[in-house]
Amino acid sequence: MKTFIIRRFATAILVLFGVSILVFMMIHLVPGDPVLIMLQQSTAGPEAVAQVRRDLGLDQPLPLQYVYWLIGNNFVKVDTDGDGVPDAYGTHLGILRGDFGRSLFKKAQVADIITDKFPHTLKLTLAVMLISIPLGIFAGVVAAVKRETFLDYATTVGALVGVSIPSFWLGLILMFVFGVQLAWVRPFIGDKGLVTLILPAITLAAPFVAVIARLTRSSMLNVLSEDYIRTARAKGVRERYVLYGHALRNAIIPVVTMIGLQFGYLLGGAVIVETVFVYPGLGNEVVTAILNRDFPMVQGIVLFSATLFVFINLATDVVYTIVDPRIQYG
Amino acid sequence: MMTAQDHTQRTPTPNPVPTVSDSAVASLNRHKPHGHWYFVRRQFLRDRAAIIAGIVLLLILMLTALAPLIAPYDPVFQSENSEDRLAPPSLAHLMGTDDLRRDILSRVLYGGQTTLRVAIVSVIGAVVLGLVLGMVSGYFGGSSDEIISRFIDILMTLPGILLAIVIIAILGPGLNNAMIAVAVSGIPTISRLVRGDTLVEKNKVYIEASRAMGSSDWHIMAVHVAPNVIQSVIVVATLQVATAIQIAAGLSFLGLGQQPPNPEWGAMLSNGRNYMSSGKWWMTVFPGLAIFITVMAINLLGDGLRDAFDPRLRNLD
Repeated sequence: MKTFIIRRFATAILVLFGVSILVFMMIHLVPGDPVLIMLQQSTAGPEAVAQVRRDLGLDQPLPLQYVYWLIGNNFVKVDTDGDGVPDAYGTHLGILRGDFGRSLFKKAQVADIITDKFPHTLKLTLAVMLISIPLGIFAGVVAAVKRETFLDYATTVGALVGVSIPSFWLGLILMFVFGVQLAWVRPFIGDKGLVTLILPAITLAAPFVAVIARLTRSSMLNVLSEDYIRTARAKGVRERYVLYGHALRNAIIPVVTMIGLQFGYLLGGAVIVETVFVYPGLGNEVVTAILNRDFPMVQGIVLFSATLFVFINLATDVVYTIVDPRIQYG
Repeated sequence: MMTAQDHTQRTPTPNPVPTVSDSAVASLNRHKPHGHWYFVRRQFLRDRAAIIAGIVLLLILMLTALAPLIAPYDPVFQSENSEDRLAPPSLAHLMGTDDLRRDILSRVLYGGQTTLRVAIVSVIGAVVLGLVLGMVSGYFGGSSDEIISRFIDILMTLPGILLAIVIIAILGPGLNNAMIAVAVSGIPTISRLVRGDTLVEKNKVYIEASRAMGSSDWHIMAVHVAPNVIQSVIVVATLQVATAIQIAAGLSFLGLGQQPPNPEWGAMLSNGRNYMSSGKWWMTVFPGLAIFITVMAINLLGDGLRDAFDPRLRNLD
């Protein structure tokens, strides 16, 4: 088990290393001169362009740029005034020390913007989890137990609608009905306390409840046909305990994996729903950054959410090997 | 799909006029067990929901393809009549008009062409790349498997829509780039599925036999492995079209896909959003409904195909 955890950890680091290279390369893969694109239509002269290039370290050879980006350049002298002679120590600390550079558009440190926006996204993610996990698991169990009854069909149809409804459309409809027409939920955009969480959380929960319910249902159906369930019933164990104590405990394993994946994805910011509700989270920020061609900002957020995702997955896997000794990993 | 079908179909066509000398063969044929595709067809045709979904989908494809013939107006035509600005649904404009006095029904029909084309083309791209990556990874194993699997892991660290957005950030907004972005975001699912299936398939005896007869690895992959993994790929690719539509429409909704004035479902929604608070619901409701119905039909069809091909795949979702 120890070897598995070490190997799994090593893989996670390797994947993050790959992500960092791709994210770093992003700016260089852009067709054309990245500096000109970033400056957009500004009337910056060649002098200013050269200055931005030096500030971003784009005048260095590519591998060196990556190293500086990763671990910083405050220990080497770089050329800051464009005369070709290194004259001062660099100012970047590198992403490993949490320095993602400055946002080109907001004139602030990317890391500061992320720390500012992340709590909003975290709050929304937790709200989504709070709605979807109990509801999805409950619906899935009921559908499996009451198989081929009205409740089962209702869950199946509900799940189909949940996965098929486009989230931006659902968000807009909820906004229109409950925010504008009925005026039950006000305010409904931005983050102005718990009330503004309601509609975006429901919007994001809809497909999530659906997939949890579907997976729980099929997993429960598999487990309920196992011998040990019949044994438990034959022993006279109360049905409720058979369902929740025996069946669900085993059926829940794939569901928890899926919840872990989704949790990791949501923490990176729900791009579309946050935009619909003008919610000040990471998802909304990354869209703004892309529309503004604010590359350091995009790189920072992408790296941040990828890292969260990788570590949450790692944690899910490791917890399993500890909790469930039957699981054997290669 | 046809090539796969031809390949696996092993039941010979029964002789239409059995002669006396053929009677032994004929009686054998009568008792010959039905082929795999017989059961696939029978199971699928029993699934009423999937059949209806398939018909609805065909209808949607036909309506959008025939848009130039059936659309009442030009999708970018701006009416001169000022009463046609933000007009609610009426007989002249069944789905109303938008802020630029354009007919929404016509825009929904034409917009579907764009949305569906982006989704279908990108899924085909994802299937081709995913099939190759997955087969190479599963068949050869070793370091090529390690490299491809880690690459897929890297792609999977971001949810589909965010990955697509990052690609758009590199390539710049636009329809073709959106297509590439949606295709790349679909690769991990297909590749992982194919890798798993290939791992199972490559250890079967007929592969060993083919190798003993001197077949090259690429020949074995193309002729033996591919037709056997394609079934689950068809199922998953069908369901992927639904995801692709949502991502493609999402990109346009964010202003990163189809650019104005050309219609696209997601872009129309994004435009309608500005008029939602003043009660102009029709600008948002109709394009959204189009996405919703199409995606639901594809999901139903995909579920039906999955049950028909291999009920065990049920546990994949």
